[in-house]
Amino acid sequence: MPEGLRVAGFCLPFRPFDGPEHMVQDIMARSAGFGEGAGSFLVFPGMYAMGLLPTAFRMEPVGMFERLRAAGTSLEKAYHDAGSEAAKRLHAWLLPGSVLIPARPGYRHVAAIFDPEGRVIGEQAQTHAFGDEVELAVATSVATFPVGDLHVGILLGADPWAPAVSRVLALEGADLLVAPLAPRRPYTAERAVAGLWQEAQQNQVFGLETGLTGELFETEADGRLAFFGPCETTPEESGFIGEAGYVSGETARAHHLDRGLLRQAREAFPIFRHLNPSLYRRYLPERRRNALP
Amino acid sequence: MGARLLLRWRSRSGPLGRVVRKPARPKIPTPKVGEVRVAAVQMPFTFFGSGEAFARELRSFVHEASEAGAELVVFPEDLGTTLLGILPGFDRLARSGSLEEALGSLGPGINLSDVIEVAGPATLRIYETVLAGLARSYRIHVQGGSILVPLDGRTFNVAHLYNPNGRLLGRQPKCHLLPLEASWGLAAGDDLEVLDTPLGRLAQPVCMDATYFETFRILVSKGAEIVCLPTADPDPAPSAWKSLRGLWPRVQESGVYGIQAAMVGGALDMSFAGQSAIIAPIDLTPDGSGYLAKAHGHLREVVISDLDLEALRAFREHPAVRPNPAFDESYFPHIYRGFWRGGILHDDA
Repeated sequence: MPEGLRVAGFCLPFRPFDGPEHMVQDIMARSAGFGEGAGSFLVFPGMYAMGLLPTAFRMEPVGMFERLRAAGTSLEKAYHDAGSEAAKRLHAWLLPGSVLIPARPGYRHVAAIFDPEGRVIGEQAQTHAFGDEVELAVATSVATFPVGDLHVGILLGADPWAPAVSRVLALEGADLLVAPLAPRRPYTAERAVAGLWQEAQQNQVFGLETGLTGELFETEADGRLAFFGPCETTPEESGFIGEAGYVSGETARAHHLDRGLLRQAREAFPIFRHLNPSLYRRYLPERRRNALP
Repeated sequence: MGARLLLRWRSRSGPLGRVVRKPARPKIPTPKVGEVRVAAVQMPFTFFGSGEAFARELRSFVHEASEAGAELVVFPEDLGTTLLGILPGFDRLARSGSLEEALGSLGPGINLSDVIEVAGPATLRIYETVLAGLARSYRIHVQGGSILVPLDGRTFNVAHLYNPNGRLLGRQPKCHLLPLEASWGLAAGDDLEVLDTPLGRLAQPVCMDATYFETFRILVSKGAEIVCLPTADPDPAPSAWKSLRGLWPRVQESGVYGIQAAMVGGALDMSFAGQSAIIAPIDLTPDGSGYLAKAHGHLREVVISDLDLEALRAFREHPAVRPNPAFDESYFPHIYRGFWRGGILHDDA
């Protein structure tokens, strides 16, 4: 077996859960055929776990953030309970989507990875906000987590469009960047390509984008699913692993991500060897006036 | 010494001046208020045996761009390399099967930067005379692609921008090399410049510089609005997806206009592919593709489009993704610490 990891990704409509056990059952049902054994890593879409927001809060005619604050820490606990239990039953690594957590002020957007024993091996919060995410409390650091043979970094919300994040993760050793997303409609192929697809290219890493679809509180999500790699490692040099393009609708895919292929691509064309640190040292971080993500 | 004298004679300015001063009928551009019409040249690579032949070819491109009302014309990377055809005995070198073989025939251990050390002053003289002359004759800004330039014992790949008076506005050494260029003995630049012009704030990084998001972060922090990118991609048959790497994603993440001028064709064992294009943020393109205009294939072409600077400035007032200065302070520039001396992949550690 080549070094690497079998990774599964999901594109799903948003649905409410009656509690953690209900979410575990949903994960188990959707993972049938994908998740058996410790050689697998399953990645659910962004905001998938928001289905855990208690029904009473979810249905009240108030904004999502008021409901979040009312839920307090219960949502975070339910997320961890469901993630841990599902990972144990599947005996697989699991990223059970992402969830919003009340913060002071605003809220944080986080996702965790659970190991096959149900332990949290890492948690990441969104680091860059979209222009209208005024209440989001962003994180100021990122980390990579060991998942089988791969080092994994997590990109949430706007992070796939903030190139500094993927660069930092890649320089810190990420082999795979996963982006569990719930992108708002309209989400065109061009906007998608400008995100994780191109980050996989400029950082020579694997990528997995999973997507939530359908109505999500007051918005509509338009997620999709795709696995990425450097063009040189993929059929017809598309940069897509499997189908040469995005898959949409309620669907799932799994691929073995071979770390040896990444190493070959990096050796053949060592992008990082030609970084120009003396130039960056002079100007980065740049002046705030014209700062970019 | 004989070769240097011959090169000096072959690069004298008199005959070149006659070509670039040849009667032109400058067209007065009539762009809409706040718009700039720009042209990206897509040029088949060839070695020119004389400065006059080089001047005639470039003049045909500038003439076409000017007739279309362009105020800025951008040439491809390695434009100056086409002038190596003026080297004494070049015909014999050109019959070599590869660049490596051609260099080997000059003597053991000779690399391209050694050749540029000898030929560079002459090729640069022709290049500067022709580009400045064309800019002056056609009253147009000319981004002259790039040329290999010897400087203080090192060789750089340098972009040049001329204003409509023929004055050199700025030189920009390429800051990120291809592995191939490093093997030729080229050196990387360590600064990026943004130039104030009546057309807007222009930058001219070179080809591989657009593989690195850092280039564009720095340029935007210095106020860049229009980024000219001369390219000569030594990939004979890139996929459509591979062609999307480089300038297109940099424009999307940076909120600038991008003008890519591609060298095509090839010589010796080198072949170039790429499509000249004028690129804008997705929201500023009518079809949402991120392209304002694009070459139709891989042959000679001049690609024209208008850039709406007012629309760009309005677009940049409301960035899709907000910066996170605390995140940047956490990592930059020390995240590159392991790469201070030539780069180490975590795999290699």
